[in-house]
Amino acid sequence: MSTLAFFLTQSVNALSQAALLFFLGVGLTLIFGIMRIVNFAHGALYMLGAFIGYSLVRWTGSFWLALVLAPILVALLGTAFELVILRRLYRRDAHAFLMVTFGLALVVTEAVRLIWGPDALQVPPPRLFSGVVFLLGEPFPTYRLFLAGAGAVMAIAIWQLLERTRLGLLIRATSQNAEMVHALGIDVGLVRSAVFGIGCGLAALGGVLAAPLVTASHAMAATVIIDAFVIVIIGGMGSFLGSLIGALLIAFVQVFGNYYLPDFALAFMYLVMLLVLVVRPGGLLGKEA
Amino acid sequence: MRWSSLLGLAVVAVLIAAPLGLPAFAMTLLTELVILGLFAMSLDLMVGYTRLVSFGHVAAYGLGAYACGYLLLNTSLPLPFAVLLAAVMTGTVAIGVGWVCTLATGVSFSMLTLAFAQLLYAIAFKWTSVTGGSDGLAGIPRRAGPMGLTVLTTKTGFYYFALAALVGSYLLCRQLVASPFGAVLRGIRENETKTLTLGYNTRLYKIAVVAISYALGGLAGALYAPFAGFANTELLFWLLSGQVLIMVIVGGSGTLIGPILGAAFFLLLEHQLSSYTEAWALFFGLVFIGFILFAPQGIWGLLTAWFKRDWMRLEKGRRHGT
Amino acid sequence: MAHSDERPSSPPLIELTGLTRRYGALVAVDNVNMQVAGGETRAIIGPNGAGKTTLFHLITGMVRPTAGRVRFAGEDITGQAAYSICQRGLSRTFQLTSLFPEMTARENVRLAAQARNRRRWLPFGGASVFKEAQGAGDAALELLGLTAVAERAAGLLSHGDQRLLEVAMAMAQQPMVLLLDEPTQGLSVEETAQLSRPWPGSWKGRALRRCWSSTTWRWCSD
Repeated sequence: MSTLAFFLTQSVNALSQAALLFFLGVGLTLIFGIMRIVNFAHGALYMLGAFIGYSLVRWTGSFWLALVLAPILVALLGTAFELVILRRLYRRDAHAFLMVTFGLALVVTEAVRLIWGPDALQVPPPRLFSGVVFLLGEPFPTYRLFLAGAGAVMAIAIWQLLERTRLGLLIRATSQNAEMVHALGIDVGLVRSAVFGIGCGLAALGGVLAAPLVTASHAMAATVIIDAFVIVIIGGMGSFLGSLIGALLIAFVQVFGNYYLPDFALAFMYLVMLLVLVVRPGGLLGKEA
Repeated sequence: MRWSSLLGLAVVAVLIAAPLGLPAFAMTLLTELVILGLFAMSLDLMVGYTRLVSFGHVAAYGLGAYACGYLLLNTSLPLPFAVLLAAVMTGTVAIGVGWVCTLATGVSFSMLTLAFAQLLYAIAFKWTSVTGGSDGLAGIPRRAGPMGLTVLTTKTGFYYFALAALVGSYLLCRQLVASPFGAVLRGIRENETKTLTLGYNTRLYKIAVVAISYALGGLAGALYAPFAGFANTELLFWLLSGQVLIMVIVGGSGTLIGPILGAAFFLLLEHQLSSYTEAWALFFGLVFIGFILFAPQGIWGLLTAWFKRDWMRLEKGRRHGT
Repeated sequence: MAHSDERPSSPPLIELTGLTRRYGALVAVDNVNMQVAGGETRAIIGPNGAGKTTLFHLITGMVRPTAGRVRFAGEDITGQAAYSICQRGLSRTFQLTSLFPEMTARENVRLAAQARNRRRWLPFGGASVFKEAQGAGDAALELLGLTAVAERAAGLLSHGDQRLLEVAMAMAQQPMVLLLDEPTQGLSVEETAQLSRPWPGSWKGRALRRCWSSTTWRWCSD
């Protein structure tokens, strides 16, 4: 394979990876921006999305339906969790939140194991994108192209949501000064529940999209939360743009790092996280924790 | 509190007398409880006394188990020495872990501990020559002690060894939290900035408590390896980190005894419920969430409050959190 | 910005030269030069936002200066860690009360005093360490009139008592220099009087120098 072709395919690869990481990271950062908590269950919800997607595809035969329904289901679950449980903790310290979302992660992981069994499950990609396309003579799965495209589309959509819509305005305002928003007569609680639900839904969306690529497995929950956390740390907690940049950065590091030093992928991530935490604890663009 | 010292002595007496009356399978369960109790108690030093929430305590457990297993399989060290050496090795590695993780605070600290545990998990899979890969180390012998003491190879003998480790560690921890060092830990827990500005190099104290906590966790793991006869990657899976954290919180953090109760509660659920349903671990997670919401002081906290007829403390515990 | 009410009688304990702190375009502390000698009492006054607390942060090592030097007892301490500066004999209180809320007042001052003991880190025993620290702590409580509430949890004390407790904690460390940041904020008239009573000129034999910041003129002129 020529060097140019190599770099091209690997770069598109990285872009598709970045899309998945972006879905993970943007939800986490939105939740942090509004609620100042790190949703530890994010990885588990990503995994849940993958498994629900698997079942929906098997029942309905349509990947697209699964792509729409699974995130909605998980978003509803997340909103319910926020309403029933998280609401009671707003007056407590940050550790209580962390542990409760950790508890949620455990419960979700166990539930997945009970419902779908302990084995990893294969999700077939949609027929529309299950072929290959030729980039500079090298075969490249179209599904990855689709992912990269979907990532770009979602990034623009979320950006527009935040900048142009009333909901986006409320989200941005609440993340800057919740009390003021409350004083203006807005039900901040509703905004919080909505954002938490959206964040969870985005994680699940990432999970469904990832499933045809990596199979739906149980180890996802823990590894993926670390990935999400690293992205958000790098980009900055609470920054939408930061999560995009972080996702791109980590994806490229992972893809090219995996090629040159395959065994050290996890150690490398750990090092990157460490470096950022030490040098710029606020991240590149973020609000302080 | 005198009544609790008496109660403690009574409990220890019962534990010592246990082998006389209990059947073999109950002895196995009891030994497992002792080991798990030690594991949970070691985490309490970090979580309960210093508010360093670790999501990766399996790292200590797994390190201790693998180290001890390796020593028992590849050297002729007697059992007690292998166990203790494994614990010391774990504590030494933990100094480095602590140094790294304390570069951050709060959630970032917790994430770093998780990342380290995940790193060990990955290493355990890949470094097959030392760790046996996904199969792990098998056939770990419960070797005789020094000077030909074969008592440790028996179920009862090993039980007493584990019990001695637990009681010894408990006394060590009790001593530690009542010392000037412990007073500083408490300061860090309640207001780290203030402790720093009072003139304490808080990072050093945090590293020290991480090292001690991991060493004791490693001791528990090192006991587990010869107890079960194997050490594999299951011991490093993140779910176990979660479960031991739950034991600490549900049992009652910051009390040393609480986590042991939490371990007992966990084992009870596992062995009683698993015959009815596979969902016992899920149930355990739900119980955890329930305790955080409604009884953050844990079982031991509830018990002591009830015994003192201190209703105000029950209320305060519910309102002021973990 | 500085107002001295006693003539310096010995070489400067604290010496600030060209001390500056910038936050981007905002200059919080601008080229401050100050010399305060042992035994002196100095007040730093100014309106909110003048930079008084930042100045204290710079002196005690909580914030690094953008430029300039801080010397304490003749040694350059610029940029050193906050805990090690405190160990040199510089204790401070905070504008926003910072205590150990679940410990009793006695335990609060004990922990403060313990910090000045060479064996403060002992992982075993420590009866003598505690005794010594408690002695210094209790004396500080008495000086500030808090003996009556000594066994109450710090978080349950009245706001005024909490401010006094914070000063007691700093006093319990028997510092060479005591920096009080808005100590009378939120205090009643009686509590203010308690605080501004003349303290023993020499505290356990050392000349104590106090330096505080305030926005209230009336109290400073007492």
